Amino acid sequence: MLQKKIGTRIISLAVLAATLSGCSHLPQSNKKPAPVHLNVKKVVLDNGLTVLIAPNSKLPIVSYYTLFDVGGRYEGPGTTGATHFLEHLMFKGAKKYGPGQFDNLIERNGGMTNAYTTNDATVYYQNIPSSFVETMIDLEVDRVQNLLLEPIGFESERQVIFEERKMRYENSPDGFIYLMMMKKVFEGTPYGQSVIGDVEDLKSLSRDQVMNFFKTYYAPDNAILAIAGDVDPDKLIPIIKEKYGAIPRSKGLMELKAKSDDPKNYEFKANFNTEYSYYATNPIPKFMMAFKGEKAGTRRAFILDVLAYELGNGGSSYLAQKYVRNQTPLLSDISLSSYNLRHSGVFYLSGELMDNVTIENAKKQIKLDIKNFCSQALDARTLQKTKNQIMSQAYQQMKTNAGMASTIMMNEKVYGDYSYGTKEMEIYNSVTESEVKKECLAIFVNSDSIFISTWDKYPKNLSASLSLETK
Amino acid sequence: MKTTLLMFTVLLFSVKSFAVTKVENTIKRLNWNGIDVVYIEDNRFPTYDLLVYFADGALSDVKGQLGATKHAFNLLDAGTAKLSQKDILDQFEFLGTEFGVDVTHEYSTLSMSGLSKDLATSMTQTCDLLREANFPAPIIKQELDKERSELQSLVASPQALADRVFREVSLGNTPYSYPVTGKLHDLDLYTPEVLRAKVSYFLDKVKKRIYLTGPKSILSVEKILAEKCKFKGGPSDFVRSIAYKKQKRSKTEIVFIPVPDANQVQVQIGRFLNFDEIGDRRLDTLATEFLGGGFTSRLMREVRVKRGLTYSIGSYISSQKQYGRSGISTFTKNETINKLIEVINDAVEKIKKEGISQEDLERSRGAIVGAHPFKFESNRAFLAQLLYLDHIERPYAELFDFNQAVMKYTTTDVSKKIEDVFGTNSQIIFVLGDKSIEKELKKLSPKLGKMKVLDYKSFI
Repeated sequence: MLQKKIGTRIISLAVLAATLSGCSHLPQSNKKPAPVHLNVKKVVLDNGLTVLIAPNSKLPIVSYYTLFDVGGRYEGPGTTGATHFLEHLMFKGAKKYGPGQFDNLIERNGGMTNAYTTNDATVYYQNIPSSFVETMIDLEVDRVQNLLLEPIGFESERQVIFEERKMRYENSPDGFIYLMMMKKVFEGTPYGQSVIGDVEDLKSLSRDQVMNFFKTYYAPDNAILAIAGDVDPDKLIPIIKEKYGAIPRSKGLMELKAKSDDPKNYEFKANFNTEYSYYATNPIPKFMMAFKGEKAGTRRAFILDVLAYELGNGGSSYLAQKYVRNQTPLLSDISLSSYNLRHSGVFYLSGELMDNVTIENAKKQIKLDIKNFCSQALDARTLQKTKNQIMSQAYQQMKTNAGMASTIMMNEKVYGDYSYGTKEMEIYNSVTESEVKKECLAIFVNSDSIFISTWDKYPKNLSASLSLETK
Repeated sequence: MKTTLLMFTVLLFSVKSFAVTKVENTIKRLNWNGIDVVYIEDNRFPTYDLLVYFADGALSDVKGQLGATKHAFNLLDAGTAKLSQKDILDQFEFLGTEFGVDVTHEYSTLSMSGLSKDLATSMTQTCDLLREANFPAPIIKQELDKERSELQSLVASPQALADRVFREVSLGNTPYSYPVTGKLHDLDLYTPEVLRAKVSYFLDKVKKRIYLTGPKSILSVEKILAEKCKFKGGPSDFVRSIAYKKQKRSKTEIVFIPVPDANQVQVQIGRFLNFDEIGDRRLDTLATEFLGGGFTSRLMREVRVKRGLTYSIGSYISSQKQYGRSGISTFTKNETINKLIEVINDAVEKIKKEGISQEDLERSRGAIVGAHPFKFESNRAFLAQLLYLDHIERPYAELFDFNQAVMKYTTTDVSKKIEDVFGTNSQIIFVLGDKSIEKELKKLSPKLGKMKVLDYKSFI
């Protein structure tokens, strides 16, 4: 079904009792924001399911998140798109609640349900009235235990996915260039396979293949359940134990994943001194310049996050001022991102040209400038600005039940600690100017990059199958 | 079935009870220097959300300055005599303050959010912008060049292009059809003098209201609003209201917009709604929930679940104080465009002929009643709800009595609303896609109505 989140940054900024020093020239208060206490109850069931409950009785509503630790990276050649296809099919009916009943029950009670798939995970989520929580548990347990995968629903959903693919990638220049960047940067690694799936693979995926994928990866010891909202953990946990507790552990999954997760599989294999041009429907050229990034959770990953923010976040940032907001702008838009995946990462600059600028000129200018980014752009004040922005965003994220459930769930998955947000903020706040400069030089001065551009003036045969390219 | 109905009833009453006791009572009304203020105390986080409402919008733009209001608000941060654009942006961003503006035809809003300890600093800066923005010519030129570039790229985003063109086409010859952003050829008209005059008009002539949520400490912003923004209210403050001739569409028309190299077709079906068609917004919500409001809606079942013709489809009836618009929005592959339109038409016709069942009504009712508390979850969304009700001059009770009000509607009310608004004999069927589908699309004309082909460029 539904929404697919491909390429979302995995930074799960979270709760904080962090310092906020004021080195601004502005007359703002020097008071620190009050610390926020995380009220979360965690239990791990005998079958390995991790359960997190964050009570909040402000409103009679609940956000219910389920993460399965399986993403596009576990798909082998010929089966790209299987994880996402399965995500759609999870809404097509199970034994107790047959076709149409899952959505129907949730929606008729005022809830909404959706899901997304990334390279690393599949997440199902519902926003529901608190009176519906027990039924929600029953619905989720039923589909994890007894998924039907009926042939008729299977085929019609395949057509839906083709339309989704067109919407997100083939008819979206931003989606298309992102897809090609990921394919090129992670070529030869599990992250080089598109999460939405290649057309030929999608055409040939069989019900048995998808069912096999389901049976292999949808196990309680490969999942995290996070519930935030108007619930009483002491009353809910026994019900969860009773319902989910009957689902058996996986067999051999951890060994299979360990083999697939061998760090050697994720070592970069692409040539980072290449350029690719693709036909796409954008009348004004777009580009991406991608460097080797860092996997989530390391100190370097935090530093690269800070670097991306410092250089490229907001209209006052160095890159926006240099290329977009000046008298003779080269670009109409620019951004810098650090995408930290579970086992690897990519650090990339993306932009769209002004209509009187050629891609050759833009590329030449940026490549000329790039070696000066680190000496011109980074200082103590921009570092502090970045830390303030990260903190403000973290608070915003935690204001809703969905934000809370998602954050504690992702922290539990990536760090094995739902409350890692506090630690995370400490790490962000401990990043020094010299650390950021060092990584800046390592990326922009001492590393090669893959340069990708798209334009509707490029020959059409450069992209028809999403697999042709010119070097 | 009885059990189900009982469950709904319990849910409805429990939600109402919560709403009255927990939410409604948190709203405080204040008056600061003649300006109405709506305040909701929230001590969960050291943060605030603030909205400033202005009772006029793009309808204030006269010919030769169309789009000026939107640009005056959008470009507030272009500079003042003391601060450059970079300084202004840097100050907001340093504090992690989010600053935004929104302009509709009838009203405009300015929004801010951030850490409550920094509200005074951010509000002072915002007041400086409102009072002293001088829209430096070089910055304005640079920003408008960027906008030209973005507009020219719109063709590569079929969904966004379809939204823009359909809006203008479906609102036809009404005062609301011209885009609030203006068009490409208007961009030359926005001089520093025009933009400054616009902001001054909104500051000094137009009625304002403040919406605020956060810890009590943020109420100290009152002094800044009075002294720095010089906000002052009075009975003579201007509130936009217009008289227009009612529109009556008596037949359906197909409008085709060809775009290059599209392998997916955008479809929107809808029309303009007159002021006397938008009175019962809760029934509008119920009807659109039934028709295209979720994965179990009638259209989603017919179009996606049964036939796999699309990834998503939805319906809406949206309204401001004096007008509204309706729409069904979806997309499909080139080969199935006619099939898609026929399926949608048949679905609407079936509702007209057969009505809807009690079970359908209960499902839709349950959906909007159960989802109602989510309107209060995010502080900003809650403030926006209150702002909207004030704008359309309806009591907050419409928010808190929502559940009881929805209970009174019958299956006939819902099917009649769908027939009145989405009836197949009075719609604009809007199709944006590759030129190659034109021939096939024409085959629908004898059954559905005349088809005309328009150039998308005249809409940007």
